[in-house]
Amino acid sequence: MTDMPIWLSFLLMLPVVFACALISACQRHEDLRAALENTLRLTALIAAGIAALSLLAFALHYLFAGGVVWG
Amino acid sequence: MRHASNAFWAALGWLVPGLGHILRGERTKGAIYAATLLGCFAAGEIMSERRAVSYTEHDIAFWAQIGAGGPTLLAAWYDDRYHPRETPEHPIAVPWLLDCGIMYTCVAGLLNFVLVVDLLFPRPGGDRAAGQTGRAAPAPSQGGARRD
Repeated sequence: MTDMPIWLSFLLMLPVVFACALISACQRHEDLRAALENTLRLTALIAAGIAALSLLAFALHYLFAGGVVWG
Repeated sequence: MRHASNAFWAALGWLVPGLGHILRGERTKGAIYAATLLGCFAAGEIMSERRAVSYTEHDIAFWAQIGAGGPTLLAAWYDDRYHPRETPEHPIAVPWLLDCGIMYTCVAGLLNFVLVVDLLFPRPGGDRAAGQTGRAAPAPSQGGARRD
């Protein structure tokens, strides 16, 4: 993969997550409003999950491998 | 036209993401699908400087991208026709966001596979058939109506 700042990789991941959540929600809900609400909830949850796991990975790396390059 | 077979809608949806749903009558959702998937595909192509789709250079990714049939075939034709091939004498600089572009186009193709399956096998007892609002009906034990 190309070297890029962490914030940029996180930013580039968001539209893809949103697209997956939107298609998924529209498949499960006939009502559009419910689907859009579900999309936002799913996107926020997945983004928060990825951010939390990233923080955990960086923390472990910092503790046991001498730090990370935040770029 | 709305009485055409599911295979026909699926073929239309494969060719142009969202078109099958639009012509079948689900206009709003079809427009959302089209905007999402075509936008995702176009973003991937822009990020990769129109090099994300190539059967010769990214043959495995191509099988995911082909889920969005029309855009992928168009992009593959463009790549085959206009992009020069790399040789030892003429190396070609790799676009900075090529990997991201490939990922975006792959995601668009794979999500369109889901929509094609939805067109091919509509849920017989689903919300669309029942004309409900989309939330699952509550169970009889929770006060919902029993369907016998």
